[in-house]
Amino acid sequence: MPAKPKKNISKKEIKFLILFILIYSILQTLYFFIPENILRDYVYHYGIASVSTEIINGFTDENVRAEENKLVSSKAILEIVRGCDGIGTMLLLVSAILAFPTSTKNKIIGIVSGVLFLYIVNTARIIIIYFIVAYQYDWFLVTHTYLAPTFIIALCALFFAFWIAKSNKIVLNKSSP
Amino acid sequence: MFIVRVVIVWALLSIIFLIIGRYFIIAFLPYLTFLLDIFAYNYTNALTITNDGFSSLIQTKITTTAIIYVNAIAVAPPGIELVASTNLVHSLVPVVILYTILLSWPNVAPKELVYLLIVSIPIMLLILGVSVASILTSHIQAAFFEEAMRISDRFIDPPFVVNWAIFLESGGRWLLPIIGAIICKSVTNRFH
Repeated sequence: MPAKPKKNISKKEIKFLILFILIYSILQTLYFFIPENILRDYVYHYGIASVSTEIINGFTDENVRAEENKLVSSKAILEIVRGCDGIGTMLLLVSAILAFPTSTKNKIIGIVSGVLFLYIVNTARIIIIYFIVAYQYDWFLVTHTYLAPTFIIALCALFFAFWIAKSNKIVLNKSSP
Repeated sequence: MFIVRVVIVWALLSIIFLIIGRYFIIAFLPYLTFLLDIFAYNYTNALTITNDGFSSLIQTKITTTAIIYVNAIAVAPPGIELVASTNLVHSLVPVVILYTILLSWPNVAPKELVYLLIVSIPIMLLILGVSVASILTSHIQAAFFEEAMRISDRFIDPPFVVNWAIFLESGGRWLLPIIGAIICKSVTNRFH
């Protein structure tokens, strides 16, 4: 009969927590070293504003244009700034994946697919928030400061849980005779 | 099923805290005032819930009781009043994240869930305290430091609480409940 697993705060859990916090703090610090103009003129403009603008104009007659870090139309101006750019959640997920004990291959797969997943989610968030600013401004604060962050973190946790399940499956398959 | 469960838990908690959030924070105002008073020096706090037209705010009105010094520079005489506030629903984000993770945790028996919820109470209080109290304090401290820099015309390193608040506002506010949830589960595993 297999021995009942000992329920305890294991060294693995403590190591994961410490590594998670440490990696996240390092990544956050590095993120803060990125000059504001690099974020505004390149990351936010080409990575977020232009992409969101293309999607909105592709499906609607909003005539939105990307100006630096802003989505501008006759109905709304949405500015993307540090802290509201979705990078924070990406850093959280990347830190958790890097801290989790598994193979390098699994980590690379997790980071690439996780960042891509969060990029899509964040682009959807920006587009939804644009429409809220344009047509239902009363909902802006509650969506931007409450619903969106909690939902994205829930999605982040979901992705992490699925990645762990997938990673463990791969490891188990490899180790089985 | 797991995805549906997480989304339902998140949606229910978001709605519940959106409705009761104001009363939830009001219940903890004495606790938050206690924490603010720990950080305060030469001023008193009066914590209230206010409305700015768009949303509810947790607001502290401080009154200086003695001269406030920053790096030996007098920045405020006694009797000065300052107001700092933070968005109420935004302050509830860590609480919603904490309980979304805990209530969605896979393979948790009902009895274990009860333990998890009991263990989560001090963790939730800690997270709420270190986020709301430190953000309000950082606004006050930042105002004092800006005044000191204006008077002295040189850069002064901000205190730890200001850097901590920047960390919280740039994602740390999300990190805390995730860490808190993992700690809750680990502690519950030990005693359950």
